Amino acid sequence: MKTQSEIDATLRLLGSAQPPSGLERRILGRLDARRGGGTTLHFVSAAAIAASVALVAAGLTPSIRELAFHGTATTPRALAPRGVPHPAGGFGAASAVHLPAAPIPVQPTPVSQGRGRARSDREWTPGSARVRLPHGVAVPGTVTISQSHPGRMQTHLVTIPAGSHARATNAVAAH
Amino acid sequence: MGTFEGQLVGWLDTGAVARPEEEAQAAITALVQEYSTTLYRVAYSVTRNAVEAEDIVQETFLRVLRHKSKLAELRDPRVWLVRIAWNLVLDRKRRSKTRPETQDIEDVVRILPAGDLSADKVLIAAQQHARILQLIDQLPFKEREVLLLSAVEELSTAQIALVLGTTESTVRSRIFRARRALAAKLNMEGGAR
Repeated sequence: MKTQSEIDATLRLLGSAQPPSGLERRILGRLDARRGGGTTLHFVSAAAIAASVALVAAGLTPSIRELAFHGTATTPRALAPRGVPHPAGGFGAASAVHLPAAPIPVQPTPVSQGRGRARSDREWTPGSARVRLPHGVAVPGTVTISQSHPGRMQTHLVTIPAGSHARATNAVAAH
Repeated sequence: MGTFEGQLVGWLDTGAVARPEEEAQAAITALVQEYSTTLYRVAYSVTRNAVEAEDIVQETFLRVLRHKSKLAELRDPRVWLVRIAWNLVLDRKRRSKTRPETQDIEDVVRILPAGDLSADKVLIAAQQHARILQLIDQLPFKEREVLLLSAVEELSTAQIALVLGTTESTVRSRIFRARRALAAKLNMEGGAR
């Protein structure tokens, strides 16, 4: 019995512990702080979202953008290009006549840009390598009839001397 | 109604309508004034630490604030609040499991009722209570939780059963087994001395 009474006394002591003074006040204060903090947080986040939406809308609308960022709403409307009516009448792209407003300048060709050498004289650059054409290679030139020996032909070979682009002509008599 | 659904139907009054914000705040204030002491005792029975117990009570009401829309449907707020506080206590206890449980005599002296007892008698009583509390901590979990909740004066056996999600007869049998085991441990210690 003494043991049971000791257990009862301990449990009674444990179950009747008095809370520290001001517990309710502290709880209510914390609840108020949480309520106020939550309300302020919600208001700030809602205001931020509304401001960002307004900015995006102003940026996407040209008239609002002009009014907001330049102080005027007098932006002229972009005029659609006028089509030239077909003399014979008609509709659609097939019947349209496209007249340029100004003469179209001719684009300069590589020859007119100073690179007008013959293709055989140009340097050949495969990839990054820079290979020069071999010089002195004979290419067939013109064929003439020998005056002294009418039955024979003379062939003029054109060679490219090394170190210069001057051409030399060697006559080789054909037998 | 042993099932959870049955308990839920018992707690919730489905015919009630939602209250406005001001009424919800007033209801929470009333709950704080009425049940903060009970919740403190529930928390203190496990933590045996005044600061931790108060923290748990505050956390309980913060959860109530989070679910204030359910306040209008509450039928038995005491059970609901104790259940929230009890779950918080168990969570906190589980998290601080690595911390060794020590029973400080000064903590027990602090909760002893101030009377005409001399300092020596207060110290002896505190030592005895601390010894029994240590033995309670050695009980199996289910018996220990029932014994600690039964120590809270404001909770009946039926309410303890609702908090723990069990039946009244189970609560009674667990209390009986817990007290018997505790008495056996006490007698064993007394005989050893």
